[in-house]
Amino acid sequence: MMIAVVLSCASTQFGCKTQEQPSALVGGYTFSRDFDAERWVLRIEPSAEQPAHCMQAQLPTGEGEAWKETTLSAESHRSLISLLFDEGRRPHYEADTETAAAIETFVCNQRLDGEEFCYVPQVAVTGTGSPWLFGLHPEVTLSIESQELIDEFLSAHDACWNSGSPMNGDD
Amino acid sequence: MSEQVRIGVRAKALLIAAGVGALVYMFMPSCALFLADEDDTLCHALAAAEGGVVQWPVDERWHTDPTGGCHVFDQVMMNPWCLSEDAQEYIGGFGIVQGHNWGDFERGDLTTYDEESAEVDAPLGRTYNGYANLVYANREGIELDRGRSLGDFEYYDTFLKWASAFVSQKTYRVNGSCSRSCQTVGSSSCAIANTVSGAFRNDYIDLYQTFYYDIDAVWRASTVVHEVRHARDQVLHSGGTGCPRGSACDRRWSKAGSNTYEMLWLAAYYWTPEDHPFITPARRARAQVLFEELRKNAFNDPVQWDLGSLALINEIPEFYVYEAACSEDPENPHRCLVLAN
Repeated sequence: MMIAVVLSCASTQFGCKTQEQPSALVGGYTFSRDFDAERWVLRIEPSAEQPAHCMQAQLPTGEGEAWKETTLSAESHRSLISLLFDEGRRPHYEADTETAAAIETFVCNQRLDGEEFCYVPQVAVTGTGSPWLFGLHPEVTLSIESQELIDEFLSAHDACWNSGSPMNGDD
Repeated sequence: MSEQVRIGVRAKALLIAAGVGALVYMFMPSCALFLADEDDTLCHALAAAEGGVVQWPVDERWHTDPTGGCHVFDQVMMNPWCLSEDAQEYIGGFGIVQGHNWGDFERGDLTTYDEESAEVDAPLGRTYNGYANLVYANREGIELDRGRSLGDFEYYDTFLKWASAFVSQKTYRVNGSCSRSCQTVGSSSCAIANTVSGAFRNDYIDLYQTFYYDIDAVWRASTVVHEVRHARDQVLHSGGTGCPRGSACDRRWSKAGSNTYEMLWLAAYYWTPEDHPFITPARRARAQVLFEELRKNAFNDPVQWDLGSLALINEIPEFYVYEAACSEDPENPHRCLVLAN
């Protein structure tokens, strides 16, 4: 009995029997859209030389959602960055964010296991300071500026998802 | 030698072997391979030090505050611990003193600062600046007794007090590291910290270059709360790659994981009185942004409430510890009913 315990301890000690949990710092800018029971995500970095990452999955998402990476065209990257940091557009983004935060209406569905799952039809942009939120409810009318930003995000996401290469699981 | 004596000797030998094995295991480093690369500017700065003088890095790769206003959190006059040896001892007691690799950073550098910006510039000092947010968010500061039972809500009568004791009691060792651990060289997607835990071992937290130089001090503090939830409690991320940030995702709030704990601390920090002597409007605003980013990016299932839902967190901390975060029984949805998603 004693020998079994010791052997068991010894085998544990010399293996890598540990659980490592990185706390990721996701740099760059993250665009995510929950809409029509799907989640689309695009992450870009300040430099066009760094790869963009994207994900597309049914809601509710699971643990092993596939991500892809690609290098966006310089034009697409430049366009997204300039839309993000155009000072003239900021008041429009802020106004739409205020509206989205005020009417955060959840859409709820049943999961396969019978539990309820809820999400807000919305585009969220993070990494630029306070997150920008753009409601996608029929009763919400977005500014042209916000709509242009969303369109550019969706177009870059398409490019990433259609031509990107799969990433190796967890990043 | 009689059979009985032989068995006794063998048993003793086995016990000694087990004891030695346990000691080796206790101090066994992470299995992660350390490879210095171009990103590790801190490692290179340490290697290039002349006469013990290190040119500390200033290349903050990623900072979500576009105005750079969070730099002031690292200024020496914003951090009362710099002038108090008792406070330095208190903060070291969060597991930093037991940590490995801090010797590489020269303990004498703890309170050095950049003469132009007045920012504490050494990794250990910037780590203390992070922990200072845990300590001075409580008006008791270093007078808070961190050793009482975590169920003693008569003493820990705000969430912030409880969280300070939680961090203290659930941390074994906090190690320094000069590596940067980014996704690719030059990327701003980098690990801030890494926690190693497991059965029969003493947990430890490794802090990377990004922790000291790429993020602000409020973010450092919330990261500590996050990591500590992985440490002694061994609560792992449950959401895989299903959230917008693509890693370190929790499936949902009611799993009471590291992201939930980090958000609870940020909310408690935010909901302190406006006349708080340490939590300036800039620090409070930073906590709000970090809370919102986690809310949107860190969970597979969207979080259904906002910062306003946590307004009473410092008035009734036991509710948020036991009910909202479901820390006692994460599988029982009824306990999580009020704030569950």
